[in-house]
Amino acid sequence: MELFSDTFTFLAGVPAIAGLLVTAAAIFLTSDWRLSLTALLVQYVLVGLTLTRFVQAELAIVKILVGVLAVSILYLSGRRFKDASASQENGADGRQFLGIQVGWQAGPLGLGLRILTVIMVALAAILFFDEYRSLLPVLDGEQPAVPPDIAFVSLWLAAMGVIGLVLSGDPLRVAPAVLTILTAFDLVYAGLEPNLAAVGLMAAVTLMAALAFGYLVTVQGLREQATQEQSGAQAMPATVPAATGREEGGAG
Amino acid sequence: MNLLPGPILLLVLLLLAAVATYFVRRVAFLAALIASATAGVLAFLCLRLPLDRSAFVLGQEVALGRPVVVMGQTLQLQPAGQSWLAFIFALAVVFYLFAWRVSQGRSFFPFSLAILALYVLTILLETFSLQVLVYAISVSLAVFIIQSGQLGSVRGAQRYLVVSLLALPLLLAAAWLVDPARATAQDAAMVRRVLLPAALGFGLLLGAFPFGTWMPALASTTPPMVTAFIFTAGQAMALYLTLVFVRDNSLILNNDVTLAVIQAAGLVMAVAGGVMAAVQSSFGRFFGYAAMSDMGVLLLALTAGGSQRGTLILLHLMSRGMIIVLMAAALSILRHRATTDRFADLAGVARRLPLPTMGLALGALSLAGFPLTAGFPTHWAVYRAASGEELLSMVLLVASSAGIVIGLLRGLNAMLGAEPRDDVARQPLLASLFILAFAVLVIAIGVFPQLLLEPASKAAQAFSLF
Repeated sequence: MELFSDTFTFLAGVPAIAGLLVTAAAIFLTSDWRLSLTALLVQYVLVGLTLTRFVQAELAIVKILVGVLAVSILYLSGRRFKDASASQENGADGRQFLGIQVGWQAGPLGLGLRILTVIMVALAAILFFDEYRSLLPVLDGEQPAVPPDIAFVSLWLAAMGVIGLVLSGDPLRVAPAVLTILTAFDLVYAGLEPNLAAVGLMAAVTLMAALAFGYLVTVQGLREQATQEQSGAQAMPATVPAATGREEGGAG
Repeated sequence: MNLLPGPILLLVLLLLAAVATYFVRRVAFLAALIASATAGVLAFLCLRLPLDRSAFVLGQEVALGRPVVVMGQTLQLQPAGQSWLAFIFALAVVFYLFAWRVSQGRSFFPFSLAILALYVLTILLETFSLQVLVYAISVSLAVFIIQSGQLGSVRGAQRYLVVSLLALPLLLAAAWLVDPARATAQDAAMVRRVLLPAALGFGLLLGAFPFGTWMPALASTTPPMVTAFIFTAGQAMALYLTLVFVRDNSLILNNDVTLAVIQAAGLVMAVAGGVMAAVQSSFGRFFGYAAMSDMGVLLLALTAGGSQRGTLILLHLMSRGMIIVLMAAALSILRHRATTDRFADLAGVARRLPLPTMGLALGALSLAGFPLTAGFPTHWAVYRAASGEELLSMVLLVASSAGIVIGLLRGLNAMLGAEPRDDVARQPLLASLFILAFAVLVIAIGVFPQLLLEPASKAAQAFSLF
């Protein structure tokens, strides 16, 4: 039991923080929506793990469950339409790994530029970290209310979320970015705000936001489907006479 | 007989109506009847019932101001919230009656009633952070009526959602930092620390420059009455949260930097909206930019008007509500009958739809602050305050109004084409009468602004503003 507790405490420390840094970068870097949602799911689990340092384990579990539900909502919305239109988003070089596009041209901006953006955001986060910490709340005796590692990872998550928002207007890319920003805030706020009503409402906001984004994903998918069907229907009359013509010509 | 507490009555009635209208959403008449009757009854109760004692309504004793504790949170209607809710419910009655004649999407009735219930909850809650969280939930729900099942662009709904959700962490952070029980640094240091998240948060929430791009995007594709719902009731709630915050932290609003930031944001918003309105090619986007410009004037009213600025803000909010309803109603009929609102496709439509054309013209002129319209009194007060401080501000504001008028003239010019449009059906009678009634109201308020002065003044007093 003690071994389990020690392992858990260890995992909630540096590994969870490192995992959060990686997942936020992964959400931004990947051009595949499934990978992006998987990273978001892992992010929620790691946030819950990290929060066990400040809040009751029950609350941390609730946060994880809410995250799992939010990701499920987005996945179910995306699955129906995104697979069909995936070929349009694929990179020009079309390289795949486990069915996921990994080519340099895949996704918005291209992977090379996205990696460069991540490096620049990392440098900016390091540069402005002290200024950011000065904005965070302090306790009596001017002690910071938020530990430095949590402060840094929240800054990193927020920055990656904001950059992700700028990158694309696709609801399935915007949703993980917005949810990452909310997670960044929740990481700091959950430790400061003991009010259960606030925790519950924050969870409700996350779920409602996921539902709203899921709805927008569905609408956009249906729209693209309708457009494709319309263009297909317009192309049909041109195809049929051509085929008929060939038959007539062949017969002649 | 048991005494019925106000908070329970307000919430339960709205939620019941939301459920009922969901089941009858395909029967527009019935859904509109239930929704407008509910909103009407609640508006009446908020206007007439006292908060300090109980009163009998249809034989049932109701205590509107009685607090109720639900899950550890005290819900109580305060005088400021009472007048705010009366205004929002009155607007809702108008939306629902119009939506009966010109459909705004089947989801409009049930979802907007649920959103109204969330607005009520926002006002009933006592803690600012909880109010902000409930408001964020209402914004997420609003996405469903904005899109209203249409397969059009999702840009407007998505931008509105993103901007409002981004405001959430900033406002919660600001609220945490100003909480006197937790903040250690006082006065100037506290204001310095709070200013950035508060300014950004409220800027996002109110659609201040440069965060207001969702307004034209939303107005271009969303059913016009839904747009009006967001521009009036939704933004009124955003303003309510702003006023609650500055009322409880007056130190922030009295800070010179805060005033300068609000003034600059309001001025840029008003000017950008006006200039952009001048170059639009459809009435939907024109409406969005004109409303954005008007919102900038509302922000300027926050810094103008001296001791009367509370009254000025609320007066502007009320007249803005009427003007936007008028424009939205006219735009609804235009889109319904002509199936488009693009200037290029509207040649000759003005002859078939004279009242909607008049409604659009009057609404736009009013949003520009044209004399003898409802927008004039508050625009005039803000312009005068601006001219007293800096001539450039005054010139820019006049240019903003001119931009809206230019955009309107371009639209009217397109609608007045010589060719008759027999393919466009004639204007619907009841909906056109609705426009006529609002046009008369907008002119009446322009000529006799004192009609709104008393309720605005009372609401400002109830808010203990400034």
